[in-house]
Amino acid sequence: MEKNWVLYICLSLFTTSCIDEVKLNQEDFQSKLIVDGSISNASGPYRVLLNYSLPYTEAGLTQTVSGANVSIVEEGGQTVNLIEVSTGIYETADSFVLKGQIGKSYYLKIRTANGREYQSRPEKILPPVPIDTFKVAFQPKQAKPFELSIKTKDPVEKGNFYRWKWMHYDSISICKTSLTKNEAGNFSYKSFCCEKCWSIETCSGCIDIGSDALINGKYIEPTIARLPYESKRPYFVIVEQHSVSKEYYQFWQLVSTQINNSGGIFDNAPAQIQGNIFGVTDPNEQVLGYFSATGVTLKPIYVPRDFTNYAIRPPATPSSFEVIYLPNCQPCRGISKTPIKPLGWIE
Amino acid sequence: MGHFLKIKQKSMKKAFLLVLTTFSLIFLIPLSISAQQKTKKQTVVLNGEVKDEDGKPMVGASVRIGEPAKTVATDSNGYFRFDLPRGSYSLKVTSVGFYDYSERVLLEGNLLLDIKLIQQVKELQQVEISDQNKDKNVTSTQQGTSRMTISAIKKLPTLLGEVDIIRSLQTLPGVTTVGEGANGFNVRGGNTDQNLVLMDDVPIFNASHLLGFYSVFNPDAVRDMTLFRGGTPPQYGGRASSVLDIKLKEPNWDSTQISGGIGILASRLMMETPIVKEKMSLFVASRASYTDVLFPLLDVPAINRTKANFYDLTGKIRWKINNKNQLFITSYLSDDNFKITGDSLAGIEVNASSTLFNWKTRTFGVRWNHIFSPKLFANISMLGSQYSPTMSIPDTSYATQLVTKISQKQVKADFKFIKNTKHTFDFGATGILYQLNPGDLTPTHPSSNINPVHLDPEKGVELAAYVTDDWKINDRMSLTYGLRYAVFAKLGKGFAINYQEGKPLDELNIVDTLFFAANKVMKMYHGLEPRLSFRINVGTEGSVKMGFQRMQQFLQQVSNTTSALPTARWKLSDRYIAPQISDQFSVGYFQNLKDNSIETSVELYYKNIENMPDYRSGVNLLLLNSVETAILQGKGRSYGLEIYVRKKTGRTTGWLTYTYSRSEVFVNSPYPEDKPFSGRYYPTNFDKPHVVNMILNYYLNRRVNFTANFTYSSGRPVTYADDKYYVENVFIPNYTNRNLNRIPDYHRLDVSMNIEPNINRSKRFSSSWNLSIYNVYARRNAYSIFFRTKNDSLFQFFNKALSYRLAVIGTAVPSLTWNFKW
Repeated sequence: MEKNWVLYICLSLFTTSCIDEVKLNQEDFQSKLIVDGSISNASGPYRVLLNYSLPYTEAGLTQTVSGANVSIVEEGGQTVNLIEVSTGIYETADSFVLKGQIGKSYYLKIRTANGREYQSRPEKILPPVPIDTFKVAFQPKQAKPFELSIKTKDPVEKGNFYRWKWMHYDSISICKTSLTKNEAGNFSYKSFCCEKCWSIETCSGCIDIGSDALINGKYIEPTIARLPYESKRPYFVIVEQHSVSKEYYQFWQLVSTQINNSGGIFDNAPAQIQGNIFGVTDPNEQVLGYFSATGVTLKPIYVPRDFTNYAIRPPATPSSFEVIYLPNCQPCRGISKTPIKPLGWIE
Repeated sequence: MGHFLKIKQKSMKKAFLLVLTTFSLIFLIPLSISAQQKTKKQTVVLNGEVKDEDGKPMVGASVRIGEPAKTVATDSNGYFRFDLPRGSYSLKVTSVGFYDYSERVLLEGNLLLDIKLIQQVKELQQVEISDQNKDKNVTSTQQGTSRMTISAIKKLPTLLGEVDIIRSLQTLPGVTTVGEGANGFNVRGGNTDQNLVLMDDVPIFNASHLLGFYSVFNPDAVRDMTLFRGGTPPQYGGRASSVLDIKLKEPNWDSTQISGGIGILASRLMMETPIVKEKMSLFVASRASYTDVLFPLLDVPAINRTKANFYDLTGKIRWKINNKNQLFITSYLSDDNFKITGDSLAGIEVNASSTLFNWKTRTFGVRWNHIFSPKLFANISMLGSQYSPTMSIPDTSYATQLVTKISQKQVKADFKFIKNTKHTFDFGATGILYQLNPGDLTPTHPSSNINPVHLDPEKGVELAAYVTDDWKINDRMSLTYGLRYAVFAKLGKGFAINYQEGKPLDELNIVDTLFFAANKVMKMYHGLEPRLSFRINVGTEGSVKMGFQRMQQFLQQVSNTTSALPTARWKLSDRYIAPQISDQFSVGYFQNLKDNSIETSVELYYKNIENMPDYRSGVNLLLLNSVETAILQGKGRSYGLEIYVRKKTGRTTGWLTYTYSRSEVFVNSPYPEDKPFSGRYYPTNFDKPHVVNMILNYYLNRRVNFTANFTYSSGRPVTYADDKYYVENVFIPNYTNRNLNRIPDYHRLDVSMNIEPNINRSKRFSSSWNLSIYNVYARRNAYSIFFRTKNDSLFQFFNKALSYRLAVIGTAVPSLTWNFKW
C-alpha cells in the first residue's frame, strides 16, 4: 500500500512512468534447507516438502532434498515415518495411520542423507472455531466481481489466531488437452478421464490471517475470495478456517509485511523471519520454513451467482481449434486434479 | 558513559532538592547582580537598539565607535552595548543592504540610542546565508552552526512553488534525509526524533505537511532559522543531535500591510497591523492547500480517491509595555489530512478499504522580555505545544478511530548578563511537563466489531538549569564554556512490569506488576551536560575551533519504519528505556579570504550515542502496552568531515559544501534472539557517506536574479534479500544482513528565476515572481528499490525475482509562484 501513495504523488507530478526495472548483483550465497509441512485434525495424508533455497534474484527450480528420513512425532504418543512419494515430497502413508488430535502437540524430525538432523518446535492442534455464515457481494467493476466473506463468532477467551484458505472444485470430464498448430490447421487433442475427476483451484500467494487482538469475543468477518462470473451456476468452494498458534500467526504476519515491502521509507525494517525449524546437529545453522499443526473447520459453500442482472463474462475463447477426442482415457492425477469426491459436493 | 546517570531511589530526593535550589538561585541571582551594578561606575554604558524602517530589529549589524575603533555586532534582538569612559565619540552602524548610519555621541552618563537603518536600493542583492557581521564565522567560538534568513531561503528553487524551510536546511553540510517525502531530517548521523525543532521557543513535534513533502513553517511568518549541529549552547537541551531554532518575524509597528502568494499547491495570505501605534502590533499568516481540488482533475483512477490537504495558521502579538518590558505572544495551528486506500500504513491489524490520517499541531507561547539594566536582560516564557495524530477506518464492521496525543507544557527563564568586555554570562532554568496519550482505539459505528483499547497515559517532568560564560581571553583566543544539568522523572500513575531476571523482556517472562499512584516517581534519570567551545586565531582572517557537547534525550519516537510516519508513537524514558545520550567532539579550521568576501571552513566531528533504539522484528508498536518488549537499545556512532566554501560578494555568489560522514548502530544483548545480524555495527537507515551541495546565485540586474541548486548524495542503505523460498505456496524472501546494500546515488539540479518588485517607493502595491524548475535534467532518482515475482502456480518454483526502481519525482517539475505585498 505504501508504494501506492508514493505512486499517487508520482503520478500527480505528471510523470510518464515512475517504475522501471533495474539490474542488481548478488554476492556470497549459501543455500539453506527449506521445510514446508503441516498436520491438522482433518484427515491426511499429511505432506512435508524439503528443498534447498536459491539466490533471491536467480530463476530456477529450488533443489529438492531427496533420501531424507522424515517423521512426525506426537508428543507422548506415536512416531510416524513419512514416505518419499516423489523427490523431495514426503507423505504419511495412510490417513488411518495418523490423524491429528485436537489438544495434542506434534513436531517434525528430519535426518538428511548427509546425516544432518533437524527438528521443529512442537505445535498444539487448537480447537477449531465454527464458521457461522457466509456473504456474497457483487462488485460490477471488479474483474472477479463476487466477493465471498464469512462470519465467525470469536471465542470469549483472548488469543485466538486464524488463517483462512479456500479451494474451488469443479467436476471435469477432460483430463488432458494438448494443442498443436501445423500447416494442416490448429488442433486440440482432448482425452476423457478414466474415472470421476475434479479440478482444484486455489489462491497461491494469498496470506489471509487474523487475530482477535482487537475484536475478542465478537464477530470476525474476513473476506475470503474473489470469484469469477463466467457462468450463473453456483460456484463450489471449500473454505478452511484454521485455528493457529501465535507463533504461526506472527510468522505469516511478518511474511505478509515483508512481501509487501516496496523498499520505501515507510517500510518496516526487513528482518530474518524465524520459522519453527531448528538444526539439531548445528543449532546456529539457519533453517527456513515452518511445520504447523492447526485445528481446521471446513465449510463447503455453493456460492450463488444468479442474484444479479449483469451479464456473465465468459472467458475469452482462443482462436478456433479443431477439437479431436482421443480414444484412450487419462487418469485423474496431478497437482490440480483429484479423483476423491470433495466434502459437501452435491451431484 | 551512561553509568553515572543511573541513581538509586534513595538519592532521588536529593536530586530533586538540588534542582529546586538551582531554580531558586537562578531567579534570585539577577536581583543581586542588578544591585551590584549600581555601586561601580568607572565607565559609562552606551546601549543601543538598531532597527530597520519597519521597526524590526536588525540582527548582526556592525557597530563601530571611537578611535581606535571598537566594533561589536548587534545581538538577536538588535541590541548592542559598549562600556566606555566619558567623552565624545563617533559612531558608525553598517549592515549589508542598508545605508551606513553615522552619529557623533556625547557620553556623559549611561545612554540608550534608537537607531533606524534605511534599506538601500537593491544594487547588489545576494543570496545571503546570514546577515551577521562579515567575519562572524571566524571570530565567534561557534562551530557546527548555520543561520539562514528567510530572504535567502525564499530565493532557492522550490518544489511546486512552496518555499520550504526544511528543504533549504538540506543544502547545509551535515543535514540529510532518507528520501523525497521523508518525514524530518537527519543531522550528523542522528535520527529524526533527535532534532529539537523550535518555533519561537515552542517545540514542534512534527514539522511535515503531506506526510513529508513540505514543512509546516509558513515562510511569510518566519524571520530566520539557526541550526546547531555542534556547539549547541547549553540553553538548549532535550534532544541528542541538533537544535533547529526558527524565529518568527516581529509584527510591523507602523502601518497595516497585507501580503500573500499564489502557488500551484497552496496559497498564502498574511496581515500585519499595529493595534496601538508604536506600542502593540499583530500579524496573522495563513496557508492552505488545494490538492483536494487538484487530484480529481487529473483523472487518474489511483489518485482520484486519494485525499490530501492541509492548512496552517501562525499568529504573533508584540506589545512594548515600556522601554524595559516587552511581551510577545505566539500561536500556531496546523491540520493535515491524508487518505489512502488499504490499511498497511495504519499498523493496526484490520483489513480496511481505506485509512484516513489526520495530524494536528497546536502551540501557544508567551515571552516576557525585561531589561533589568544595560548589562542584564531576561526572557521569561510560558510555552505549550500539543500534537495529536488520528487514524480512522470507515468500513462499517471495522469502523474505528485511533487517537494519540503528546503535549508539552514548559516554563523557562533565560538571562543574559554582560559582566564586562571579557565575560558574558547566559544562565537560566526550565521545567517541562510531558503528557502522552499513547493510544485510544474506539469503535465509531454501532455495528463495529472493534473492541476499544486504551493505553495508559504517560507523564514525566524534566527540570534543567544551565550557565555559560562567553570569555574573550585575549585578542586571539576565546572560550565558551557552560554546563547544563537536567533531571527527568517518569511519574505515575501507571504500571511497571517486572520481568524474570536473566531472561529477555518478553510478555512470557512477566513476574509481577507494580502500581504507582498519581505523580509518584516511577523512575528518575539525571545528568550533567558539559558544553565547550574554544577558538584561537591563526594568521589573518583564520581561526581554529574545538568543541565538546553532551546532550540528553528523555523523549523519543518509536518507529520501526525507515522514516517515521506522522502517526508514529512517542515514548518517555522509563525503567527499561534509558535516555539517549550523545557526546560529540569536534574540531574545525575557519579561514576567510579576500577581505572576508570568501569564507571557508573544514570541520571534523565524532559522535557517540548511548541507548539508540532498535526494534525486535515484526512487533506492532502502535497498540503495545509494554513497549520495552519491542525495543532494543544499542550504541550509535557517527563521524564525519564537512567542507564549506562560500563566496559572499559580487554578481555571482553562493556556496559549495562537501560532507563525508558515517552513521552506524550496534545492538548487543546477552540473548541471541535479540542480536539483529549477529551483534555487529551496521549502517543506520540514514548513513549517506558522500554529500555535495552547491548553491549559485547570479545577479543580473536590480529586478532579476537566478539561483541554481545542485545536490548529490550516496544512496541510502537498504536490505536486500539473500534467498527465496516457498512455504504453503507463498513466495518468501529471506534477509540476513541489515542495510548492507544501497539504493543508487541521488543527484538533482534545480534552477529558479526571481523577479523582484519594481523599486518604486511611491506605489504601495508590489509583487514578485518565482519561477522554478525542480529536477532540471529529469533524473529518475530512486526512491526505493523493490522486488516482485509473479506468483504463478505453474512456475512457482521457477520464478525469478525482478528488481524495480521507484522514482517519486521522475521528471522536471516546473512551478510558478506569484507573491504580493500591499
